Amino acid sequence: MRDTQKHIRIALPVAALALLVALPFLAQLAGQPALVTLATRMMILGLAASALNIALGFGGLISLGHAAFYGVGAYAAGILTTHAAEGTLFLGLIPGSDQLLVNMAAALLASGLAAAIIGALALRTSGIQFIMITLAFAQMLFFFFVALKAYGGDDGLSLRRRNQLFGLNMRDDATFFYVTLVVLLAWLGICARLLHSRFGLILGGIRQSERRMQAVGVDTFRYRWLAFVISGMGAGLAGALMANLGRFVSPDMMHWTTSGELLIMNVLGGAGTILGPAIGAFALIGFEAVLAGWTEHWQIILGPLLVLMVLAFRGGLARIGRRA
Amino acid sequence: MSVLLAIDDLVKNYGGLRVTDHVTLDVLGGEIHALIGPNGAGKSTLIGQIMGEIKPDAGRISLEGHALDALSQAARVRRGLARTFQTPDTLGEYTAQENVAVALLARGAPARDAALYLDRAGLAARAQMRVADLSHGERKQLELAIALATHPRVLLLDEPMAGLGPTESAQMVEILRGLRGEVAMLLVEHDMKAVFALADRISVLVYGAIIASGDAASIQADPLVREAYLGVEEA
Repeated sequence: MRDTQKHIRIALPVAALALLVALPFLAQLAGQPALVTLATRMMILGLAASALNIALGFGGLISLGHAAFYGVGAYAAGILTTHAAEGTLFLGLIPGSDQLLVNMAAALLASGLAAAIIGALALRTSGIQFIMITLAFAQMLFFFFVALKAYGGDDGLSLRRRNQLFGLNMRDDATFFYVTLVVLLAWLGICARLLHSRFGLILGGIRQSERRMQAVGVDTFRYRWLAFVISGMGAGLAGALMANLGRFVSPDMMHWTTSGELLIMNVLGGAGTILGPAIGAFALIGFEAVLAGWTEHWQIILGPLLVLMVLAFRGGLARIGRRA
Repeated sequence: MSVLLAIDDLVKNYGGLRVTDHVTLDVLGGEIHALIGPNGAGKSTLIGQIMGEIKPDAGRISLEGHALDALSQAARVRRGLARTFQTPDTLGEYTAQENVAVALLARGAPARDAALYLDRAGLAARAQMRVADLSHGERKQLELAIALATHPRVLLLDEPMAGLGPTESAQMVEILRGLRGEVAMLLVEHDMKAVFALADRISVLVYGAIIASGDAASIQADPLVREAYLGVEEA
């Protein structure tokens, strides 16, 4: 019985991966090319939700401000792309770039810096205060970018074309889909390594009992801060990809509702598991897409549906069939 | 034996209530120094202050001559202090082995050494069991294994016998006796049988103040201690 469950737990992700790899071909065959863009969006939000999972699921930090890091990553990529197109310097110093690897690195750096600063302050609180302070910082950044007229302000920033990568045809949605898939898989691989590392074991200990971990000599603030920074960097990476997918960046990406969606994806898929948040992202975006096709009042159906799913699958979709 | 842990004139007030009243106490290398007293005497608060969880209002704490007052709890543990909790505070999602492993990893020691400490605490057979599946007594033993894994010079034991049955208490006494000479201990305990079986010295804390200190015989004979804590036999 246990062997069967183990086989299913391995077979399901492998089958899902095979389906994802084949999706652009299947979408072409079905005459539904928009499915490729939809799946790319799911993967990017899955990456952002998985990034939040490091703070939330591994570290027990309920952040309602991760949209800020997602948006900062998107703006980092968007601003550098704009300067590259205009041939101008960012802040009169930094040349623009239309290279995806450079812009992803910039997104990681910018979002990591934002998370380092916000985390250093927010992690001095806990519980409801932590939730509120992360929300407050995210809203501050939201209004900062609304006011930033040089980069579109409230209207956002349109990008002329997607970033370049190794001479690939990035205009092609299927190519961008595969690039996103590779980034997502790499990120999930990092998460798995992290969870089973010394860092992951200690972070999990802090989530279960901070007092216990302090009593064995762990500087718990340092671990939680590092988890928060890594988590913010992952969200920024997702932002850079989303900026490329839609060739558009706007302050709306930083709105608190985006943070809420990332939290829902974690709860739905299973915070604290490797694949859960990505599964949650696929489920949430999938339901949104299907229901929106039926009725313009899709949110009335989606809300109760999510509540039922969370009640039915406590611990998340990724934990179905696992020992409690 | 030299003084390892020295507490000098420690004071702590909660509003108008003085919970630590000019406490001066030391723990010598290799000894078991028991701290007894009625409930609410301030024993656990004293441990909290020694560990750095609670900030005292006045006084000094030093370990092997080094002042601990400005150090965080993590830094004090790295210096050689460790504690157990009265109510076991273990990591419920982890196995017994993983609980000890995190203490080892925290000080950069290999996780595989966990088996040694579980064995010292009499818990080797339960290494792979999740904490949620351990009995209360086994969790107490696990607390001890975790504390030992930090490689302490002085171990602060907060009521290690609390909630244990006679057999488990006897087992814990044997385990602690096996550690004598290896690690110095400040033993907070209500179980007088265990205290008298283990302690080299006993201090009595009442209303936050040390009212007596000495060996088991002198403490048992002290009329002040008998009146305040041990009880006076009716003539």
